[in-house]
Amino acid sequence: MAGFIETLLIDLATANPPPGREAWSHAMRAEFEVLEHGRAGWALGCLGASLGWRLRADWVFVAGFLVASILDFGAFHALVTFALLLVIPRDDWMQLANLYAAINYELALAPIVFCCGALAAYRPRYWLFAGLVTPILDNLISIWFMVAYFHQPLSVLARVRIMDARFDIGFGAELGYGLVAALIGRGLSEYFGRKPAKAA
Amino acid sequence: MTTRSRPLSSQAVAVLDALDRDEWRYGLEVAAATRLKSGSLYPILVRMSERGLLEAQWLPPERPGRPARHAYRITGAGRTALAAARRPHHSLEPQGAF
Repeated sequence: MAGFIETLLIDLATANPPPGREAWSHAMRAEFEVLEHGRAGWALGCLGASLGWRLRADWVFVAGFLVASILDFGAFHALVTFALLLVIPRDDWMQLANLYAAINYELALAPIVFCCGALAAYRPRYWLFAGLVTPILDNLISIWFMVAYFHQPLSVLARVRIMDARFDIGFGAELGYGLVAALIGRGLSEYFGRKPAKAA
Repeated sequence: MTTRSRPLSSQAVAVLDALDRDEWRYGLEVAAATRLKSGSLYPILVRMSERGLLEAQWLPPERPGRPARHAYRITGAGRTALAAARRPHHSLEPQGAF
Protein backbone atom coordinates (compact mmCIF):
# COMPACT_ATOMS: atom_id res chain seq x y z
CA MET A 1 0.00 0.00 0.00
CA ALA A 2 2.80 2.41 0.95
CA GLY A 3 4.56 1.60 -2.33
CA PHE A 4 1.38 2.31 -4.22
CA ILE A 5 0.95 5.71 -2.56
CA GLU A 6 4.60 6.67 -3.16
CA THR A 7 4.30 5.69 -6.82
CA LEU A 8 1.02 7.56 -7.14
CA LEU A 9 2.59 10.69 -5.63
CA ILE A 10 5.60 10.62 -7.94
CA ASP A 11 3.35 9.86 -10.92
CA LEU A 12 1.26 12.91 -10.06
CA ALA A 13 4.38 15.00 -9.56
CA THR A 14 5.96 14.10 -12.87
CA ALA A 15 2.91 13.71 -15.12
CA ASN A 16 2.55 16.34 -17.81
CA PRO A 17 5.07 18.88 -16.44
CA PRO A 18 4.80 22.51 -17.55
CA PRO A 19 6.98 23.62 -20.49
CA GLY A 20 10.64 23.96 -19.54
CA ARG A 21 10.34 21.63 -16.55
CA GLU A 22 10.32 18.26 -18.30
CA ALA A 23 13.99 17.48 -17.59
CA TRP A 24 13.62 18.50 -13.96
CA SER A 25 10.58 16.29 -13.55
CA HIS A 26 12.51 13.35 -15.00
CA ALA A 27 15.41 14.22 -12.69
CA MET A 28 13.21 14.10 -9.59
CA ARG A 29 11.77 10.79 -10.72
CA ALA A 30 15.19 9.29 -11.44
CA GLU A 31 16.32 10.09 -7.89
CA PHE A 32 13.09 8.57 -6.56
CA GLU A 33 13.83 5.37 -8.49
CA VAL A 34 17.22 4.89 -6.81
CA LEU A 35 16.02 5.95 -3.36
CA GLU A 36 15.65 3.16 -0.84
CA HIS A 37 14.43 5.02 2.23
CA GLY A 38 12.17 8.04 2.60
CA ARG A 39 10.55 7.54 -0.79
CA ALA A 40 7.17 8.90 0.33
CA GLY A 41 8.72 12.11 1.67
CA TRP A 42 10.74 12.57 -1.49
CA ALA A 43 7.69 11.98 -3.70
CA LEU A 44 5.61 14.38 -1.62
CA GLY A 45 8.29 17.06 -1.92
CA CYS A 46 8.43 16.50 -5.68
CA LEU A 47 4.68 16.93 -5.84
CA GLY A 48 5.00 20.22 -3.96
CA ALA A 49 7.73 21.44 -6.30
CA SER A 50 5.71 20.36 -9.31
CA LEU A 51 2.60 22.15 -8.05
CA GLY A 52 4.67 25.29 -7.55
CA TRP A 53 5.91 25.12 -11.16
CA ARG A 54 2.40 24.51 -12.43
CA LEU A 55 1.04 27.42 -10.43
CA ARG A 56 3.71 29.73 -11.81
CA ALA A 57 3.11 28.55 -15.35
CA ASP A 58 -0.68 28.38 -15.13
CA TRP A 59 -1.65 30.95 -12.52
CA VAL A 60 -3.97 32.70 -14.97
CA PHE A 61 -5.76 29.42 -15.60
CA VAL A 62 -5.99 28.67 -11.87
CA ALA A 63 -7.28 32.17 -11.11
CA GLY A 64 -9.79 31.92 -13.94
CA PHE A 65 -10.92 28.52 -12.75
CA LEU A 66 -11.43 29.73 -9.18
CA VAL A 67 -13.22 32.89 -10.24
CA ALA A 68 -15.41 30.92 -12.64
CA SER A 69 -16.28 28.37 -9.97
CA ILE A 70 -16.86 30.78 -7.13
CA LEU A 71 -18.51 33.66 -8.92
CA ASP A 72 -20.40 31.67 -11.47
CA PHE A 73 -24.13 31.41 -11.63
CA GLY A 74 -24.46 28.72 -8.96
CA ALA A 75 -23.00 30.82 -6.18
CA PHE A 76 -24.51 33.97 -7.63
CA HIS A 77 -27.89 32.29 -7.69
CA ALA A 78 -27.47 31.19 -4.10
CA LEU A 79 -26.53 34.73 -3.07
CA VAL A 80 -29.58 36.18 -4.77
CA THR A 81 -31.78 33.55 -3.20
CA PHE A 82 -30.28 34.24 0.20
CA ALA A 83 -30.94 37.95 -0.25
CA LEU A 84 -34.53 37.18 -1.23
CA LEU A 85 -34.94 34.97 1.82
CA LEU A 86 -34.01 37.90 3.97
CA VAL A 87 -36.82 40.01 2.57
CA ILE A 88 -39.48 37.37 1.94
CA PRO A 89 -41.38 36.16 5.02
CA ARG A 90 -40.88 32.49 5.82
CA ASP A 91 -44.52 31.75 5.07
CA ASP A 92 -44.07 33.02 1.55
CA TRP A 93 -41.05 30.94 0.64
CA MET A 94 -43.15 29.11 -1.93
CA GLN A 95 -43.01 32.34 -3.90
CA LEU A 96 -39.30 31.73 -4.13
CA ALA A 97 -39.91 28.27 -5.54
CA ASN A 98 -42.11 29.84 -8.17
CA LEU A 99 -39.35 32.32 -8.89
CA TYR A 100 -36.95 29.45 -9.50
CA ALA A 101 -39.42 27.90 -11.92
CA ALA A 102 -39.64 31.15 -13.83
CA ILE A 103 -35.91 31.26 -14.49
CA ASN A 104 -34.69 29.93 -17.77
CA TYR A 105 -31.89 27.59 -16.67
CA GLU A 106 -30.48 27.10 -20.13
CA LEU A 107 -29.77 30.80 -20.31
CA ALA A 108 -28.53 30.77 -16.73
CA LEU A 109 -25.99 28.09 -17.63
CA ALA A 110 -24.40 30.33 -20.21
CA PRO A 111 -21.72 31.72 -17.84
CA ILE A 112 -20.44 28.31 -16.77
CA VAL A 113 -20.46 27.06 -20.35
CA PHE A 114 -18.55 30.14 -21.46
CA CYS A 115 -16.05 29.77 -18.60
CA CYS A 116 -15.41 26.08 -19.38
CA GLY A 117 -14.86 26.90 -23.04
CA ALA A 118 -12.62 29.88 -22.31
CA LEU A 119 -10.48 27.97 -19.79
CA ALA A 120 -10.04 25.05 -22.20
CA ALA A 121 -9.17 27.44 -25.01
CA TYR A 122 -6.54 29.07 -22.81
CA ARG A 123 -5.00 25.76 -21.71
CA PRO A 124 -6.11 23.05 -24.13
CA ARG A 125 -4.28 20.28 -22.28
CA TYR A 126 -6.46 20.97 -19.20
CA TRP A 127 -9.72 20.78 -21.16
CA LEU A 128 -11.05 17.82 -19.16
CA PHE A 129 -10.29 19.57 -15.88
CA ALA A 130 -11.92 22.77 -17.12
CA GLY A 131 -15.02 21.02 -18.41
CA LEU A 132 -15.49 18.67 -15.50
CA VAL A 133 -14.14 20.27 -12.35
CA THR A 134 -15.44 23.80 -12.94
CA PRO A 135 -19.14 22.81 -12.91
CA ILE A 136 -18.56 20.35 -10.06
CA LEU A 137 -16.82 22.92 -7.86
CA ASP A 138 -19.40 25.51 -8.81
CA ASN A 139 -22.20 23.21 -7.68
CA LEU A 140 -20.36 22.12 -4.54
CA ILE A 141 -20.02 25.76 -3.55
CA SER A 142 -23.71 26.28 -4.24
CA ILE A 143 -24.63 23.27 -2.11
CA TRP A 144 -22.34 24.40 0.68
CA PHE A 145 -23.94 27.83 0.51
CA MET A 146 -27.39 26.32 0.69
CA VAL A 147 -26.55 24.12 3.65
CA ALA A 148 -24.45 26.66 5.53
CA TYR A 149 -26.57 29.75 4.99
CA PHE A 150 -30.05 28.46 4.32
CA HIS A 151 -29.66 25.78 6.98
CA GLN A 152 -31.29 23.33 4.60
CA PRO A 153 -30.59 19.60 4.81
CA LEU A 154 -28.92 18.02 1.81
CA SER A 155 -32.17 16.13 1.16
CA VAL A 156 -33.59 19.41 -0.11
CA LEU A 157 -31.57 18.71 -3.27
CA ALA A 158 -34.24 16.18 -4.18
CA ARG A 159 -36.62 19.11 -4.66
CA VAL A 160 -34.17 21.27 -6.59
CA ARG A 161 -34.78 21.23 -10.32
CA ILE A 162 -32.26 22.23 -12.93
CA MET A 163 -33.47 22.81 -16.45
CA ASP A 164 -36.84 21.41 -15.39
CA ALA A 165 -35.21 18.11 -14.51
CA ARG A 166 -34.36 16.45 -11.20
CA PHE A 167 -31.18 17.77 -9.61
CA ASP A 168 -29.05 14.76 -10.50
CA ILE A 169 -30.22 14.68 -14.09
CA GLY A 170 -29.94 18.44 -14.45
CA PHE A 171 -26.48 18.42 -12.91
CA GLY A 172 -25.42 15.66 -15.28
CA ALA A 173 -26.63 17.76 -18.17
CA GLU A 174 -24.71 20.73 -16.82
CA LEU A 175 -21.55 18.61 -16.74
CA GLY A 176 -22.26 17.62 -20.33
CA TYR A 177 -22.59 21.26 -21.33
CA GLY A 178 -19.30 22.03 -19.56
CA LEU A 179 -17.45 19.18 -21.26
CA VAL A 180 -18.79 20.02 -24.69
CA ALA A 181 -17.87 23.66 -24.20
CA ALA A 182 -14.37 22.65 -23.07
CA LEU A 183 -13.95 20.39 -26.09
CA ILE A 184 -15.03 23.21 -28.38
CA GLY A 185 -12.65 25.58 -26.59
CA ARG A 186 -9.77 23.15 -27.00
CA GLY A 187 -10.64 22.60 -30.63
CA LEU A 188 -10.80 26.31 -31.35
CA SER A 189 -7.51 26.87 -29.56
CA GLU A 190 -5.79 24.14 -31.55
CA TYR A 191 -7.37 25.33 -34.78
CA PHE A 192 -6.18 28.88 -34.31
CA GLY A 193 -2.81 27.67 -32.99
CA ARG A 194 -2.33 29.29 -29.62
CA LYS A 195 1.31 29.67 -28.69
CA PRO A 196 2.51 27.15 -26.11
CA ALA A 197 2.82 28.32 -22.51
CA LYS A 198 6.08 29.89 -21.46
CA ALA A 199 8.37 28.15 -19.03
CA ALA A 200 7.59 28.81 -15.37
CA MET B 1 21.31 33.19 -19.54
CA THR B 2 21.45 36.30 -17.41
CA THR B 3 22.94 36.56 -13.97
CA ARG B 4 20.77 38.63 -11.71
CA SER B 5 22.26 40.59 -8.88
CA ARG B 6 19.57 39.42 -6.44
CA PRO B 7 21.28 38.07 -3.32
CA LEU B 8 21.29 34.34 -2.80
CA SER B 9 19.15 32.81 -0.09
CA SER B 10 20.82 30.84 2.66
CA GLN B 11 19.43 27.65 1.12
CA ALA B 12 20.84 28.57 -2.29
CA VAL B 13 24.22 29.24 -0.68
CA ALA B 14 24.03 25.83 1.01
CA VAL B 15 23.35 24.18 -2.35
CA LEU B 16 26.25 25.98 -4.03
CA ASP B 17 28.41 25.08 -1.07
CA ALA B 18 27.50 21.41 -1.52
CA LEU B 19 28.38 21.64 -5.21
CA ASP B 20 31.63 23.52 -4.65
CA ARG B 21 33.94 20.75 -5.82
CA ASP B 22 35.14 19.50 -9.16
CA GLU B 23 32.70 16.67 -9.56
CA TRP B 24 29.12 16.07 -10.57
CA ARG B 25 26.70 15.46 -7.74
CA TYR B 26 23.24 13.94 -7.86
CA GLY B 27 20.11 15.51 -6.42
CA LEU B 28 19.99 13.01 -3.57
CA GLU B 29 23.59 13.82 -2.61
CA VAL B 30 22.87 17.56 -2.63
CA ALA B 31 19.71 16.96 -0.59
CA ALA B 32 21.69 14.92 1.95
CA ALA B 33 24.47 17.52 2.16
CA THR B 34 22.10 20.47 2.58
CA ARG B 35 19.31 18.68 4.46
CA LEU B 36 16.87 20.18 2.00
CA LYS B 37 13.72 18.31 1.04
CA SER B 38 13.06 17.63 -2.61
CA GLY B 39 10.27 20.21 -2.59
CA SER B 40 12.76 22.95 -1.70
CA LEU B 41 15.81 21.60 -3.47
CA TYR B 42 14.55 21.34 -7.03
CA PRO B 43 13.07 24.84 -7.30
CA ILE B 44 16.44 26.13 -6.06
CA LEU B 45 18.35 23.99 -8.55
CA VAL B 46 16.11 25.23 -11.36
CA ARG B 47 16.55 28.88 -10.40
CA MET B 48 20.31 28.56 -10.07
CA SER B 49 20.58 26.69 -13.33
CA GLU B 50 18.63 29.46 -15.05
CA ARG B 51 20.93 32.03 -13.47
CA GLY B 52 23.93 30.12 -14.78
CA LEU B 53 25.26 29.36 -11.31
CA LEU B 54 25.26 25.62 -11.89
CA GLU B 55 25.21 23.27 -14.84
CA ALA B 56 23.33 20.04 -15.15
CA GLN B 57 23.75 16.93 -17.24
CA TRP B 58 22.39 13.43 -17.49
CA LEU B 59 24.83 10.74 -16.38
CA PRO B 60 24.45 7.14 -17.54
CA PRO B 61 23.09 4.60 -15.06
CA GLU B 62 25.57 3.21 -12.55
CA ARG B 63 24.00 -0.22 -12.83
CA PRO B 64 21.96 -1.86 -15.62
CA GLY B 65 18.23 -1.43 -15.08
CA ARG B 66 18.68 1.82 -13.20
CA PRO B 67 17.62 5.14 -14.71
CA ALA B 68 20.00 7.79 -15.99
CA ARG B 69 20.39 10.50 -13.36
CA HIS B 70 20.58 14.23 -13.47
CA ALA B 71 23.78 15.55 -11.94
CA TYR B 72 24.87 19.07 -11.07
CA ARG B 73 28.12 21.00 -10.91
CA ILE B 74 28.92 24.56 -9.91
CA THR B 75 29.97 26.98 -12.69
CA GLY B 76 32.47 29.83 -12.60
CA ALA B 77 29.61 32.29 -12.08
CA GLY B 78 28.39 30.07 -9.26
CA ARG B 79 31.80 30.16 -7.57
CA THR B 80 31.86 33.93 -7.86
CA ALA B 81 28.37 34.18 -6.38
CA LEU B 82 29.31 31.78 -3.61
CA ALA B 83 32.45 33.73 -2.78
CA ALA B 84 30.41 36.94 -2.68
CA ALA B 85 27.85 35.32 -0.41
CA ARG B 86 30.56 34.04 1.92
CA ARG B 87 32.23 37.42 2.11
CA PRO B 88 31.36 39.10 5.41
CA HIS B 89 29.13 42.14 5.07
CA HIS B 90 30.12 45.59 6.23
CA SER B 91 31.03 45.32 9.85
CA LEU B 92 29.53 47.82 12.25
CA GLU B 93 32.67 47.71 14.37
CA PRO B 94 35.28 50.22 13.29
CA GLN B 95 38.47 48.69 12.02
CA GLY B 96 41.12 48.56 14.67
CA ALA B 97 38.71 48.72 17.56
CA PHE B 98 39.96 46.97 20.64
